Amino acid sequence: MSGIALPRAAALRRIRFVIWTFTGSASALLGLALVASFLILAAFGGWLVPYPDDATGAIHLAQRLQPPSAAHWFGTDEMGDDILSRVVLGTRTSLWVGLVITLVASLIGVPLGIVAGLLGGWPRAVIMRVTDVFLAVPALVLALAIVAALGPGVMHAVIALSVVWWPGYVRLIEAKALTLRSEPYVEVTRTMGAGPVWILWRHILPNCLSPLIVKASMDMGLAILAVASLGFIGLGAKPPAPEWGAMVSVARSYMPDWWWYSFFPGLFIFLTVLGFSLFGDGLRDLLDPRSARG
Amino acid sequence: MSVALLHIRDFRLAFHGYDGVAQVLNGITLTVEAGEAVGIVGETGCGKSVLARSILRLNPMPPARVVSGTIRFDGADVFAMEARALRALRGAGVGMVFQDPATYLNPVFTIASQLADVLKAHGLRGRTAIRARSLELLDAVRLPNPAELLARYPHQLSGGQRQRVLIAQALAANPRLLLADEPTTALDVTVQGQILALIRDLVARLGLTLVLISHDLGVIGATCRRIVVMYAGAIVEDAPAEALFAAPRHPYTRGLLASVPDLDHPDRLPVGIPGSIPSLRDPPTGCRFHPRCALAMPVCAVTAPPLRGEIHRTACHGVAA
Amino acid sequence: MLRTVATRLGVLVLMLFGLVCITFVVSNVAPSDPAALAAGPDATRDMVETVRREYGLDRPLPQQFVRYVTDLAQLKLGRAIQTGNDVSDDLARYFPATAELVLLSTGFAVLVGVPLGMASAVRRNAWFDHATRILAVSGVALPAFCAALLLQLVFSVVLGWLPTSGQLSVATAPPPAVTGMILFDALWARDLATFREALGYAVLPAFVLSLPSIAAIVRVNRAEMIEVLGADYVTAARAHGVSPWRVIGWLALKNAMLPTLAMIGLRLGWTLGSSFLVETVFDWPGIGLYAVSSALASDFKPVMGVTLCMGATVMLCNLLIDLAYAWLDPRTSAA
Repeated sequence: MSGIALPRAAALRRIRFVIWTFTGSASALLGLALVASFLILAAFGGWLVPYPDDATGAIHLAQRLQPPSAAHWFGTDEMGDDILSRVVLGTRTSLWVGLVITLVASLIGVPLGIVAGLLGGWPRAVIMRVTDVFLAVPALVLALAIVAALGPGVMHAVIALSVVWWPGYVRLIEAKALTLRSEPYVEVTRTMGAGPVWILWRHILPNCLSPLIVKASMDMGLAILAVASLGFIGLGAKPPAPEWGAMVSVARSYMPDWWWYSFFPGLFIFLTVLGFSLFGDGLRDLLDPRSARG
Repeated sequence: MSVALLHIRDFRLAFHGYDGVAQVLNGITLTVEAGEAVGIVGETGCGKSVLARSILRLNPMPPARVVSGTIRFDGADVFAMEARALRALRGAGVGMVFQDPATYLNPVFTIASQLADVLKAHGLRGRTAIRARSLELLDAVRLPNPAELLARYPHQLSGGQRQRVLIAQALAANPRLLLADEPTTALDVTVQGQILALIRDLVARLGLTLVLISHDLGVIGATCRRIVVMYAGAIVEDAPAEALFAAPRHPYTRGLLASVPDLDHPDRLPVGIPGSIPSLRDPPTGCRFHPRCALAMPVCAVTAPPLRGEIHRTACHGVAA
Repeated sequence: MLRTVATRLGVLVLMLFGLVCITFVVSNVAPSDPAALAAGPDATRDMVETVRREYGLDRPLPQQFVRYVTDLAQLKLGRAIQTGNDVSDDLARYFPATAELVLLSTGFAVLVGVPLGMASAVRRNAWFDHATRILAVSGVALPAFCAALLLQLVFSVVLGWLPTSGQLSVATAPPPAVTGMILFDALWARDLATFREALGYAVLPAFVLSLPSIAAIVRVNRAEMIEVLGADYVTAARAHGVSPWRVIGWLALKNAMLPTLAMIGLRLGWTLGSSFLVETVFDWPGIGLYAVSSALASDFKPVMGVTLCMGATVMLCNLLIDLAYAWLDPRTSAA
């Protein structure tokens, strides 16, 4: 085998592996499709929906609570607003709350995890004990308490959830860094005089990336679900903002006769969280060959 | 002629993965008569462990698939057996000893419980009977204080002790063939000798047929009277031990013998075989050894040589039958 | 063993202290005025100032912290404006209902999740496996409040099989309180009629609450089972002729139960945390519902009380699970 052909063959093998993993698993493909549609709706929803103004609380009392029809595919709500438009425009809220929460959580959690895993000793003890305490308090309840202190609102819900979300990342990265630190190949580089920064850059970070991406993908869905949950109990977004949880909350009192009102926002939450979970699963098979099918 | 105890005929096994098909066993033909002690030697990845597992149909299928050929134990086709017959074959026909005693014992059960499982699987009933037989087995593999040992968990035993327990498990149902897959590889050198001595002794005392698999010619030579050399999924040479050591015929066997340090002549450095074992997904055409063979001829790259000979069989174009 | 317990207890005390620090920080770091929070939404300026002096909120923070900790040590959690009771009394009253719900749903999750996960691992990549995995992911993805509304619609409104909400009908007198958990108390009093009625009320909320846990248990059990089934010792058992049912049902299960147990511990926090959603939909009189109604009324003390209570419960349960783990796994207990 020549020296040039080798990387090319390796790349080909890699691509074949990616395709094999994703096409071989119906659930990964479904996840990919759901996430892609969610992102498309979030980006272009404003141009796609029939009544974009309905998302901001227009009032058409003549069309209150109409069942799904050709004009209103998902029906209308108690203000006469088109539920399809509101639900689709709600993707944007969900996308940004999901992004902000996972991003803030990983920005806090990853550095702490690396410090704990790499340094060991008392910094690790302190960081991990604090993390343990945070992990022991049910996240949603602590978030509820923080929102109660800050006052209701989607912004406050996002802050509260970011504050309670990071410990998972510390755990993940610390465990990974700890095992990597004692891997024989890292020890070898250490005997050859590599400093901690080099080890971090060359060995720890690249190896943490896969589990991090997988966790972030799954957390996108879960964070969206958590914000919707706070919205549902009335501590998150307030109507008329088009947030799915808040919509279900209002729609609840119109059950069961006006079922479509709560059904469609609920369905969207479900499909979004499902999509990110399946997608994350697929990514795990792809990025973490050890746990891949075999 | 009576039926051979183990008869493998042109057995081919392939593994299917995302990047193609690996021909792991490529036409194995081997007969083991009752009472023989046969050693199978070869480098890591030559397919000897897969062969051992195939005898008990242990390879997961898929990804493994039988392409052609048969394996018969005492005349019965292993791959055509029903579940009940297969369970009888496993244990009562063939007792298998594995490589790493640390992982082949279940960490959350006591030794007593793991021995009892095997005994119960082969029809032994009653607490006292099972306990008596367990003690007898541990005694047979020369473990001191068997009664105390029964209550222990695997992690409380030494490597040698664990391997003895595994041998006891393999003997539990009075098998006719003892199939040992690298039984000493994971052990300390000092323990290796003891375990080999135990196996030799058990084979003689219980009249067992032995198939011993190892990458170590020394281990094989000390235990077996007949040696089978495997390379890249095929048998390249099969001969009585003395003949093989005195006059190896296949270039690979010669290379294998030359790479063992010679303690009688410490000035002679061991010679390795150039190159490395081929990929089984994309094996060389013809004789799979030809890219590494110093004596390769044009025909070697075209046709695979058949295994020829009666008592001393060789698969090489360069060796006259 | 005794030393392990002592060490763990020490850690527990440290963790509880950490929890108290968190709630203190949350009460004080928030941009809102803690005195105004404590006084409630309808308080006048004078009342807020009275509260500030009464609770010592005009003192420096370290002094406030010391006072906060000493109050908590005597279980003084403050007064709930909404109910007019001490928060600790309210918690004692509402906690059993939540505990009952969580216990029942954990039981559900194990009974359903373990067999599903095992079957899924054995029939790997068959249609059953795919269906189970999709169901498992759906269990996580389906918002608890949506599942609750859906099941209420089907089983209470359309079919009329189960009551919509509450813990017991108004007409039924609750059994004499032993634990405060109605199901348990009814059994204790051998009052089967009440037990059956209470079970009818509890089935839907407990099931909804168990959905994400079922999913998690299926997942970890399947993965663990696949790993165990591929483990050398299972190959060895098969090679010695041990029957497949024995291999799967017992040998592998015992190995797979350890991570399941760990998963139950991990899920406990999440289950307790999401209990407030389920309790809200089903009007289940537990501490979750208490926290939500207090939070909506800007009644701050009860929310902090529930946070403390749930945190302490999770810590205590994790300690128990750790000990059970050490007891089940011969490798850790011998060390």
